Amino acid sequence: MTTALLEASTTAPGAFARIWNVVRLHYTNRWTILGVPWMIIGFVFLVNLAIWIIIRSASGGQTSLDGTQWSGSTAYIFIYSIVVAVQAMNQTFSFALGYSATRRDYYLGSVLAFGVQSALFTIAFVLLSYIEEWTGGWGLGGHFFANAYFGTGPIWQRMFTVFGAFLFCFFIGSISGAVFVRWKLNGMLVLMGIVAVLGVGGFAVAALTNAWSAIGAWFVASGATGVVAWLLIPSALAAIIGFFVLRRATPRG
Amino acid sequence: MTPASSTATPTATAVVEVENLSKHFGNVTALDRVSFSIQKDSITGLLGRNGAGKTTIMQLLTGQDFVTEGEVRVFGHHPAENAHVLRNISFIKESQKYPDDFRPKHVFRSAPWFFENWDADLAERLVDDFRLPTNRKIKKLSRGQLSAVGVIVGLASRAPLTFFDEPYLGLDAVARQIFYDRLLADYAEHPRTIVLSTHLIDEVSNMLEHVVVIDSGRIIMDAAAEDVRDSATTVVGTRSAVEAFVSGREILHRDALGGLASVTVGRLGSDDRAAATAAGLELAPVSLQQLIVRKTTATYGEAGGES
Repeated sequence: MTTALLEASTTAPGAFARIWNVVRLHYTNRWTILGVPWMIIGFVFLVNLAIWIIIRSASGGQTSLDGTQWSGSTAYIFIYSIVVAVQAMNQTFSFALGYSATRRDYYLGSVLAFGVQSALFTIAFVLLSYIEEWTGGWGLGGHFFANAYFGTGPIWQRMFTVFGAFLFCFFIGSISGAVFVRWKLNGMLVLMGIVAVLGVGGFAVAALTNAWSAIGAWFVASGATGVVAWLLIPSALAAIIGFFVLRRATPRG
Repeated sequence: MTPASSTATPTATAVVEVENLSKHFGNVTALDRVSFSIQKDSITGLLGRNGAGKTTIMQLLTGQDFVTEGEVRVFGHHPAENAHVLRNISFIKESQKYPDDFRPKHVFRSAPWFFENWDADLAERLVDDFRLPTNRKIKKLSRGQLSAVGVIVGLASRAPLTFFDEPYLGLDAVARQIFYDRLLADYAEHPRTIVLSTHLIDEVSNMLEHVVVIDSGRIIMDAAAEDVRDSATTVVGTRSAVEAFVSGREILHRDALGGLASVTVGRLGSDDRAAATAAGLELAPVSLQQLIVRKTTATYGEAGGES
């Protein structure tokens, strides 16, 4: 009887349209999601560039900048992605529920948004890595986008390593955010406790079996691509567990 | 007021049906076997003291929190995680969190994606009415401007079921009047079901068609606003005439000034009213706020006595 009250609307959005609306919601404020990350990347790149120029001019052009391929300065943008994902789970979740979105639509939409964001970064980073190679390290022989961790090798490898790395960061961030939204501070402490126990446990196993050289060798053998491939497993786990964590979360202030 | 008066209308038009709803937060019982219904295309006031359970009820009705016991049916279905039901609902709460660095213009840009009936012209007019700076960060808005954002979303969304949880917070008297006026005007043109929780009962009493009063997680009043207003009348006149009229009636309040007396009595039928007028007495209405305060404190007194 009361189902008659829900008039079948021809404009009713289907499931994919609702999920896509959540993606659009993440991209509503273009500055936060596109502007700030690229500002960070740009700034870190300029700092590196300045250092290369200084080294080159101080040594009269003698020093090779090959060592910069080991530079970890590109880590900033990956760490920032973790932060973005945590913020998304916390603030955008409450906001989307305020728009009467379901948690399911919100989570699937956010996962898709993380995928889109990772894809955008991947396309840009891969392009920039080729430009870097073609310009001979930006005219100075420096390495930023084509380094020891990503950006070298065939195109599929470049795309895979960058995409996988961003996905990992987004899902680590999103599960942390989801745990915080559901269980607040206590949940975060438990999560950090679990991570600490696993870390100490892993460390204990490695130390007691004196496996350091084997571990080092494995990293070298797998290379960045192999490590990222293995990281897909925790990424997928984080994505799946995050869904169940968020299902019963409430947007309490 | 008994629930019987609210079920006089057929439940076939009930948009919200709540049966024996309970909500526990750990040891705290926020709602204790609450039952009521809300009819289609009406303005209902959800009233009660701070912490009585108004926000909790709204959160359960909009699927933002989960039921512990009992049944909730909105548009015939349980609302939690039900997109078909939820897309018809707009819940405006004063504690709404906005993403960092969001500005009102972002809110008004994204709201239409979630509310099919969104009227952008109405939203623009409301932005002008409330003098809202759309390009300022929400973090930097004043309390009243922040409330205005919520109010604008609630009105412009034209959702078939709209909840306003204390939307007046921070709004000055002029802004509140603008809100009431726009709400009524839009409601007249586009009827929908509106549930409003507020402490400023007298300001909205003319708008309310139905009143649900909660105290300590229990419903203490669930009736048409007309019935509540009719439940008491103030009789004013010369002391002797007034005393003669009110003898034998339920007396709620007495007031006297010199030779004039003003006594508030219980329900008066039309013959009683005619008799009062014939005796030269004046009949004045009792404010809805006073009636509800009286009912709430009376119940509180009884409950205090029981425990």
